[in-house]
Amino acid sequence: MLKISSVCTLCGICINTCPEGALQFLNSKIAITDHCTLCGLCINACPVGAISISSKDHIPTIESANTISIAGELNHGVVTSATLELISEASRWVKNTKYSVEVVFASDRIPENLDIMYSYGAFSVVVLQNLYISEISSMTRAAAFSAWYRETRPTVILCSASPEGRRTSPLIAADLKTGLTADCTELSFDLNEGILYQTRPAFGGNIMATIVCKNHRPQMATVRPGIFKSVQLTGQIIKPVKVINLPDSSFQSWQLSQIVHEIVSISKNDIPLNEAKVIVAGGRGLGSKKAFERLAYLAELMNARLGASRAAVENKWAPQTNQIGQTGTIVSPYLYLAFGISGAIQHLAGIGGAKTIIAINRDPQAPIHKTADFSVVADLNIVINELIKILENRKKPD
Amino acid sequence: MAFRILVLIKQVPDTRKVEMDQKTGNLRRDLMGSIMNPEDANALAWAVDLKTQFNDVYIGVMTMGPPQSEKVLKSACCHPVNEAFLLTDTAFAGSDTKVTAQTLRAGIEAIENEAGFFDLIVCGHQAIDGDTAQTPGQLAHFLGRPCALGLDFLELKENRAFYCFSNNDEIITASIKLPGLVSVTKNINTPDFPTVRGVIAMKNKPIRVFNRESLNIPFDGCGLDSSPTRVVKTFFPEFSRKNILIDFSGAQCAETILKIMEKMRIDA
Repeated sequence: MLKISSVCTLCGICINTCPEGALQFLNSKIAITDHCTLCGLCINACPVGAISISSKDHIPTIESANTISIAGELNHGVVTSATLELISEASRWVKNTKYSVEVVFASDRIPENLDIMYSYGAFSVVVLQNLYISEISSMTRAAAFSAWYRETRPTVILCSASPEGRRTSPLIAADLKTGLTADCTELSFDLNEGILYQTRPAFGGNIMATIVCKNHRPQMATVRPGIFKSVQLTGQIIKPVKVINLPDSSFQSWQLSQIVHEIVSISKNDIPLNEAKVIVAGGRGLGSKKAFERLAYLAELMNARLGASRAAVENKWAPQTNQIGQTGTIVSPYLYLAFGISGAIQHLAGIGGAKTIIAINRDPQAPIHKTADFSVVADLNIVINELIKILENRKKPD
Repeated sequence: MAFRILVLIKQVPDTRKVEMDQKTGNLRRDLMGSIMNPEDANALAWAVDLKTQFNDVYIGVMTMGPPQSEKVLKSACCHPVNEAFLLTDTAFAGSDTKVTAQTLRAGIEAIENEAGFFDLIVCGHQAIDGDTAQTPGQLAHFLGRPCALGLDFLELKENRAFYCFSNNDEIITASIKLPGLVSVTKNINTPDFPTVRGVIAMKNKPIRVFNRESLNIPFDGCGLDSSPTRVVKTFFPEFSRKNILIDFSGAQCAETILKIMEKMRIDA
């Protein structure tokens, strides 16, 4: 229920903020119509904090074990770097506390080199095994994880917001009848309350929201690869990996329905975008596919990966696999060169982790100039051509 | 009946067009508008195309939302849709994805009890206001049906749905047995505009409305109060960086950029 308290000054800012037009002046007060979807944007906008959402708690907090569990991911039998990032982050939270970090894998076979998980901070490593499980069958992976989590009830489950993670985690959350928050950009675990504060972009990336799963357990969150940093520690205790053979009864027949007919590898640059050290990215300001091809050539000369804003991808100047931003790839390079990118929040959400951002945009009002380390207000074509000229000269043998 | 298809759609503010004044929190509402979630339009277009491939295809369209969501159902009805269903109740407001999925399940089961199973439930992959892509998978689990999510290609053959989806650096072709649930991405097709005839036909298509009571959902089984997740804070993203202006000619800018790279020990 949306409530407006008596401190309301009738300034009307909330009325303009509501995307559904649910607030209006009525009889010298602000009235809430049935158009309200409880999105909460008005709460943030009210300058005097007069607006709140009241809610009732129907259930007490469900019991859970003092475990932070990482639902790990395998790519062709190899642990993904996103999984290592989650282990590192969680183990930072629990150091010297009553909580411990567990990593769980679901597979048809036992993956190799799993004791390396301990050097990233895992306290226990578990493999759930059954021949029905496949890396690319979300339903079987979810069934396996759910079978384990129904028994062990950790307080928190973290998954990677990779394509597979985003397919599997909702199935696990539904099975465990708990809450799930996708694509978190920040997580904060309160050790006293045992509550995970989950922050993610909302409303198309225009606003940030902090979410909690107050009473249901486990608290589930997914995090995009590249948000956290993986750190290998020394002096960790290596233990044997626990292998659990799941019975076939762990899987309902509908969960086994997928039959794979064909797998085709698509050619990609060697280094994935989210691991690139230098990225040269282009946006709407490039103006044409030809200009984008010139930018791609510059990227090649710089040994950099090519990135694109959503506008560039929608104009078909670059494929979606090059897209950087909230709905594309999240990157954290040492250096990010943004050519002709205006700096929409959805794009900035993808480059927050970059060490240095150089923005080249001839519009001094472009939002990207406020959020870059270095701002170049110049015609990007001149800058690109000059860079190419200098670099080509350097490559010429004397 | 060759196939009974249900398309789930959502009315969303056009968050791609949002302009926010960060100081006052004002949204330019006149610029924003309410639209059918783009990937739901892809889902609807896929279903409509099915009518050109098979005889006797039934398409139902359903949405859960506040009363003004009727608008998006009317838009859908401008296409060859047979029936439209609106699940609306103030008690549904503030639902997170789990509770939304539970409410949709109640609506779907109510209709299936009357008229029989849907062979396929088709959703858009994710909504541009929530961006979670969670509701379709949760709904599939609650219905106990096989699902395939994030599809770039989809076709029906006999009693199976064949599809393609991408996983890292692979494209996978697979199939599930019907009845099932799928979510499709914008890569699957380009939706057509409705025809004039379609717009006229829309006026004769009634919208069936269900509320909490008619779906037999208890008070504590829907809406904000029964949602496991709650928003505790919203704020504008902050970016704080050094911000040094390089104000030379384009040529000098290029040299300066390379000098910065050298300082950072990046080889070019």
